[in-house]
Amino acid sequence: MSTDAVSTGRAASYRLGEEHLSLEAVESLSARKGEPLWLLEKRRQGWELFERLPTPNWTRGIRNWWSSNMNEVDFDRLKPYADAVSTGGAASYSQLTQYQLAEQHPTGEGENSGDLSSGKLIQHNSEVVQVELSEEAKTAGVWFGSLDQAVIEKPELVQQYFMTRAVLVGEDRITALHAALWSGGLFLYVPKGVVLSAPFQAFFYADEPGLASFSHTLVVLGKNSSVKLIEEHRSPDSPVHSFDGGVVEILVGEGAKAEYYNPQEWGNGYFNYSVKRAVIGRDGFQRWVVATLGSSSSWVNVESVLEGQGAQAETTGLSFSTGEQHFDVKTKSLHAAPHTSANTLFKAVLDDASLTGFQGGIRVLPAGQQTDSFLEDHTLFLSDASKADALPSLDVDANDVRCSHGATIGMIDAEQIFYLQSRGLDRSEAEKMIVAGFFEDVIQRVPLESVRERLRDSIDAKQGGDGSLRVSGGESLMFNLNEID
Amino acid sequence: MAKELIIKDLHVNVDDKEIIKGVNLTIRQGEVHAIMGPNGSGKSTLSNTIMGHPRYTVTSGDIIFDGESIVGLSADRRARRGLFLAFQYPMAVPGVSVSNFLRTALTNIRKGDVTQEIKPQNLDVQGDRPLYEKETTKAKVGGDGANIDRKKKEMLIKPAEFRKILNEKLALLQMDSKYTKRYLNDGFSGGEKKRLEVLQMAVLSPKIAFLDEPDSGLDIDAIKVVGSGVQALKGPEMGIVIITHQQRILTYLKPDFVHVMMQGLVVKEGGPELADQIEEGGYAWIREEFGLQVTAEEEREEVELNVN
Repeated sequence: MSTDAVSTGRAASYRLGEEHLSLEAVESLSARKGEPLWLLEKRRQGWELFERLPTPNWTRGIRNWWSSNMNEVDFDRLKPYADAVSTGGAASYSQLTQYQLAEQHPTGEGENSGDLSSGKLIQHNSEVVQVELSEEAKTAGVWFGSLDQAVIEKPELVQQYFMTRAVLVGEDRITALHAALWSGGLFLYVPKGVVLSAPFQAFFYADEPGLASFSHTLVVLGKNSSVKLIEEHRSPDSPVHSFDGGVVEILVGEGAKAEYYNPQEWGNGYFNYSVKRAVIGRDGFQRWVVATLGSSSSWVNVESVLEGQGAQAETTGLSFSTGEQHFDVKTKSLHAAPHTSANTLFKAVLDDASLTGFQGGIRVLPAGQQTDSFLEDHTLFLSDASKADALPSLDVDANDVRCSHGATIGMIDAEQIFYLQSRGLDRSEAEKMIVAGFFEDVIQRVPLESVRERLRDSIDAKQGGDGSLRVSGGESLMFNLNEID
Repeated sequence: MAKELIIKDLHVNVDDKEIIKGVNLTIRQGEVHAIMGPNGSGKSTLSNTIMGHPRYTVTSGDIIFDGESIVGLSADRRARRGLFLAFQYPMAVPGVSVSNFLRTALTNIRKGDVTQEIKPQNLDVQGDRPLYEKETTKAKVGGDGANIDRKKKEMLIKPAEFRKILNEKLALLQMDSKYTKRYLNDGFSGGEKKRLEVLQMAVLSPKIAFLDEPDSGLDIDAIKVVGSGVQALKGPEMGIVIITHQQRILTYLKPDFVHVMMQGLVVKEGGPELADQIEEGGYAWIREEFGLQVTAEEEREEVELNVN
């Protein structure tokens, strides 16, 4: 099935009639979508909480030396909705096409025969513009498409699981705003026993300056089913503050297996606040691989609720901040049943004057006996001017558990650089190679070679791989040198 | 004409302390040299200085390769002129496969050293140069590599050509190709690391190669493997300098010249017979000949040797 190019023929840009975030915008969005009353009520509830709650913040230490950037978001200046055709016009759509072409002709050298997909979805600004579903998945009874469409076609399932179990409307101010203004996103329902090895791919692209986008991903997996989902977020740089407040909810049924991969590459000017949570049933398995590369400021929460006996979670995070980017990553493994296990690995590289904060939490409830939980984080600095804050926490209320934490933090190793330089690589090539190697074990967990290759390219480009002038520690050293001479 | 590496009255400081106190050496393509000496005699300092380690400062003297002083060049530019150092303790770089790394390295080496483009990111930058070194010459840490853009992979040597070279060298050294799929020195045993250094030397085919204690920490069988590996690479195009304090590896690789270093100086030079004399009588007789005192560091080593 294909709902292609919905918007190309339409008048320049459909508006809600509201330029700002407001209750009126919330109601007109719901009316435009022709939503049922329960959903409108949920949106209203979200708006009401948004107006009441404080913006989430994360501060530490004397004089709050570490603080997330979300307070800087000026909600009054954000637009609540934008059609697929933006003020930017046709150029943006061709970029989408390029993306698809790139998909068909991956740049990697190796084997790409495995790059089949079970389904594809493209969202442009606030609208889903294209959905494809493989015959195999369709025949197996899988439902895959935009969440808006799911509200119409699968109302019971959506009503049962949408912001009721994994992520709740009133969790925090931005999640409440999400509940009020969500648009687009996807719903993936996999019936009992259906195992699909080819991943689903969703691509979120935005190019409307000043847009606040709120895509919602809802995945419901039946007993013993298994799927992979890759969500990529991309945008050009935005001249004014833009915002993305996405929510991902994954409900992993008994013995089911969910794998979720998310390279985030919003452009400069973007603020990103994202809540991703899985609720995992008995003997279920959830894998997260979340890469933070883009946006001016990002705060991503990745949480696994191990609700059924024997549930397992594996969380892998990667972040590479450069320039003045500020990234915060929070992970949490909540052990709520016996014999659950979780493994969390977070790797960060920082360059220039960027900041990266990591909070990794293991929480074991009294019922979580025989929990096995491990948390590991590694931080690599390329410049003296960057700052990182790593805060692991273990909060255990059961007496028969195995929980541990390991961390390393340090500057890039001068001896490694010398070793590579002695083989003819110049300093920046040596650094690139070390950084690429540092991330490689994380990248290896992504199932598609084309996505792995795009990730490697993006990491490379962040180190001046595109030939653009790089402002880095090296240059600040140059100034020191001039002073010495 | 054979290229020459000339070390002229070289003085080298490490952290403000003089380690090399006036060394003279000339090495030509096609020759095999052995530099022997007890621990702390400055052997490793010498090889690291020649390769351009930024921690070592040349306070006076010169290093001339192929008629040009290389003292101020970064390590990568020295490598691209044809120098090589097999490290005593090779660094592990997790996540970087041996074959990927070697392909990038060979691309750079083949490109040779070129006139630097005047771009800010290509300027040689001195990293951790302390204030006290005013009048000294020190290796730069910047350099100008092939600047391989991932998007323009065609700049790299073609995979088929590279694989052919790699397989040839693996066969020559009787090494398994499984090495090349592993991450660079990551989880390698001592012997595997040393063999990988020899493989790198084989692939990059330098004009002058220093091997810094390629035998340290290895058992007799492994020394034989490494020694005969280097022997297989020997040829008129390659000058080889083996740094060691044991004579054993030299039974597989006969040196043309042996130099004995002690306390920062080359104190004795000769042919292969000198290595045999050291095997027989240790370093004590040379020390006596020159009236040198045993340093604390040397003493430690004597004890270790006795234990062995």
